[in-house]
Amino acid sequence: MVVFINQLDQSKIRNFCIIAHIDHGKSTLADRIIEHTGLLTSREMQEQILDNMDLERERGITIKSQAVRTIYRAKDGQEYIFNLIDTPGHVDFNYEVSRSLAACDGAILVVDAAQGIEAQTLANVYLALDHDLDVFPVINKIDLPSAEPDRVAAEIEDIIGLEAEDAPRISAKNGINIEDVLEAVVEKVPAPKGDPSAPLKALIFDSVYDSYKGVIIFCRIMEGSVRKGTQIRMMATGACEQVVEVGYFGAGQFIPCEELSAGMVGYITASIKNVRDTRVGDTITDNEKPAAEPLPGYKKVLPMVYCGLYPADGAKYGDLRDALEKLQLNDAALQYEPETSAALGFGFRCGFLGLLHLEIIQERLEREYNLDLVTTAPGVVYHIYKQDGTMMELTNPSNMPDPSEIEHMEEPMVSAQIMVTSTYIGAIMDLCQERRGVYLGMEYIEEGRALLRYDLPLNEIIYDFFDALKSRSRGYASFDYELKGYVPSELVKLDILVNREQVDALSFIVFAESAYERGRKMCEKLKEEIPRQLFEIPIQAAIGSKIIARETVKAMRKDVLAKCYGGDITRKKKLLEKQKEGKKRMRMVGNVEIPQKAFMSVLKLDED
Amino acid sequence: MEARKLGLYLHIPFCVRKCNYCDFLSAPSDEESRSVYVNALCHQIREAGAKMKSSYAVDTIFFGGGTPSILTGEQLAQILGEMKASFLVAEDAEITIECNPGTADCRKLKQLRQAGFNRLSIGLQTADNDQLKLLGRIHTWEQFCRIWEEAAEAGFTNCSVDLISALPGQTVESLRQTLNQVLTLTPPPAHLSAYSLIVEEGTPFFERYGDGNGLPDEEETLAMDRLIWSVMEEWGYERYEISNYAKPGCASRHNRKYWDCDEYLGLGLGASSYLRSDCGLCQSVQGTETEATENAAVSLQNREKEDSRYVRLKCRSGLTAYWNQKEVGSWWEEILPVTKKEEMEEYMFLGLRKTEGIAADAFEQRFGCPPEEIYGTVMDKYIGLGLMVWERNRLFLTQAGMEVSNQIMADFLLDS
Repeated sequence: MVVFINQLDQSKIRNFCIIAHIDHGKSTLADRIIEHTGLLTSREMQEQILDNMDLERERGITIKSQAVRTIYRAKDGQEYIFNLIDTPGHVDFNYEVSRSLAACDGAILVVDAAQGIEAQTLANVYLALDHDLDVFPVINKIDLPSAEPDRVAAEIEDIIGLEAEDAPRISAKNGINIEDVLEAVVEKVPAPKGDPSAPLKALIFDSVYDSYKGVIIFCRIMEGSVRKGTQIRMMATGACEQVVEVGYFGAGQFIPCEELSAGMVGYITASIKNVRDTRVGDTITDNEKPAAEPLPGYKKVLPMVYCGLYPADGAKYGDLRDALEKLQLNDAALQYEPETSAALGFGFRCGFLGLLHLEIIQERLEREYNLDLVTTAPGVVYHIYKQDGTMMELTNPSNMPDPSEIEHMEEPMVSAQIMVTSTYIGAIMDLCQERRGVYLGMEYIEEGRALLRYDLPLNEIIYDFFDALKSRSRGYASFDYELKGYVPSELVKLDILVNREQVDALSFIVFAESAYERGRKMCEKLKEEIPRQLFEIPIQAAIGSKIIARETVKAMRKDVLAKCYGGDITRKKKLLEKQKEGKKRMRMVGNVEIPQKAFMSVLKLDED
Repeated sequence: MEARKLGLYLHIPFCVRKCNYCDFLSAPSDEESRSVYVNALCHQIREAGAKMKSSYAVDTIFFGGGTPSILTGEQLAQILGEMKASFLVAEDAEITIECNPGTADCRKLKQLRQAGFNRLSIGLQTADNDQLKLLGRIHTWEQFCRIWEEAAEAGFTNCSVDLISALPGQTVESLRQTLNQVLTLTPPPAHLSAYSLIVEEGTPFFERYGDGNGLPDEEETLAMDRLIWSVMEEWGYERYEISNYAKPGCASRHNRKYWDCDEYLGLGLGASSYLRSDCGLCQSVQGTETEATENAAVSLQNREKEDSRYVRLKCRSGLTAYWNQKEVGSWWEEILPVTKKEEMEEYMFLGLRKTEGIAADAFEQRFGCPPEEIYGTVMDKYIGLGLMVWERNRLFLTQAGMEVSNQIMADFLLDS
């Protein structure tokens, strides 16, 4: 099917996204829409084509924004262009979500007919409404035995205030009533507006690096038009290049076209070498006929979580550097700079949007670049106000100045919304209390379910809060948050000494009142992780010169005497080699061998 | 040219029943397979002798198993005879046979002594009949005592007893009892081997004790180890190797070859050899038909370009394949040239098993540099920890070092 996009008028374009709580069926619905609009036959469909990375498929989450253009012949006999923009589905990528929403004119809200509304549903709906999107609900999974579409429809009307009586009731998985969704898109998502002859204003909602084409910018044209040869300028970064190609999104492929004009969604390439020049949220304009001002809402995303990444094998430092460089081409939010640790050697201090982002990068480094990594405990960015009136941002606990130089410290706080069934309200409030949460309020959103609002220190939720939430509510709690700002806090640096030597890579910043507890748990955990050696090893936690906890790894006293028989020395040697191999996976700190996974111990303090 | 010394090991892979802890290459068998095996072994001995007789003098022979004593006296005499015919065997050679008390009698012992065997290594393992049963042994303490007497009557003066400690349910006290019973035998043993039980995968013991439950814990095992050491010393035995004790002059000359990295030839099913590359057996590898051997030959050639002076060989471990072998070249399942680095590592971790340890001048003579030039750092580390001593130009483990010997020896493997 060849459609001359240039000749289509704006009234036949629908730019929309799908918003949903995780697992409510967002990606499956996207697949069905693509399938039903004839872009691909179901035979050609790879399950969930919008989630491209293996990691995304495995984890069932969307990390990068994606877009796809399909053509729908509606019941009115007209053909419509659907631009479906898939948004990342995790709080780490909230800013990317907001920019993707800004590229749309409407949104489909998918709600699970069995689960009903969740915290993320609410957060996403509010975000969509903030961007003036027309949101219409779809009730999914109606074929589940536990489905209660009527109850969920009522819930949507009560809680969100969206008309849901005639919401399509579908099963994306089994392809039931998908047509209703498509018709609703035509009917309920407004056609784009924008003057094609005004100066160019295009919103960047994502960009990817392609080794052949350079950076491919994903954008929505708000005003004006762009074509090959246009001299474009990114209004925030100032980067300037000539357009090489414009086009739209096929399924998994880029299809070039003549021109993109107001109302359209597509891509631009311009021999740009780095995604740092094409920041999400920036406005592209025509350098020769620039817009007076950029689109609102641009901000530079800053890492929220830092950790040290070291190659397990010191000789792979160069490989790690190259791999990070390559990943950064595609991920402007990833930051890194070289650092040195006495315990771990040469590595990098890396900044991430959140813990998921960290895990993704770590996994990609290990899988795609075949690197074996040692990761130090992730931490947030602390603000240290010094006696001399200056402020430093602390991303590595080892750099903490002497307490005598510190006037006060501040840590980042988030505003969190937690939705939970009444049975578990107590348990969840206890959890928030333990994590130094400040209770803001609670409202019942329906009988048996409440929305809790808390301010929480980011430091307390980056590791395992989500897991704790799930386990304490038996899965009946959902959670969303946004960064609120910095507040003063009593913080100390906790050091760990192994065999009386401080191990820099094990230091972490902790709330003063929790220091004893954390120190004790840390020593216990390390005692489990560090194998017995030929001498006794004290493990101590200290604040400054004050020891606050101690455990001891007893000396190994006896190992089995391997027999030597029939001259079969090969076997004995294999045993010794295995032993030596095991030692290689350890880090020498002084004369103590510390297994690499021990450096992540601090993450596991709340287990069991 | 003076003949080089050679140890000979003969593997007899048969037993009456497999013990519950045993993972050696052995299995119950019928008379016919034993007789076919003996013929194949004799053939192998002749073939090897033809290649090696001119350059080697055999000074130790060791029949191991399995249970070598399961063969008839005639068969054992036949094998030993074949050896004496095919090799130059020294007059005073140490000729040992392992013996299970359940498979020997007065007549067989006399036949063996007559055939030229002069050392017995008798597998007792423990003097506690309940424990013997648990181990799946086919004899009692009383049967052992009878064999012990008959051995003396048959004229064996150099007899060794094998014991295993750290058995399920064993205590320091029950081990002390076993030691007392063994050391008060008449005549007293000339030699004693005391191993710690290793629960090996694939054995019935692994099924039962693989998780460590029911076995003495580390402290008890350590206490048993120390008990053996102190009792044996008290009774006038020298601990000359981690697991071996002997009356003066009665250390096993054959086993010493393993720890000294001297040459030995192992024949029989799955037996291992350690030989100089110019031993006369490796050259004939070339031009043989089997794939494994061809690969081995290629690897040998490749590695010969490096500096490998020794080679480790392993005989085929499948009975049918073993029976059907003809040419020397088709015997081997493995041919591993030993690089100089490996030779050095082995020299260290095997040498350190001996209480006398490693002599600096012997090391230097063999490798052309003093040990501290290669191992200075790790020597300092363990000397500093009190686990190793460097004294009068010898490097050896202390008692505490022997207790954690694997940890230390692993550090003597060199980085590639």
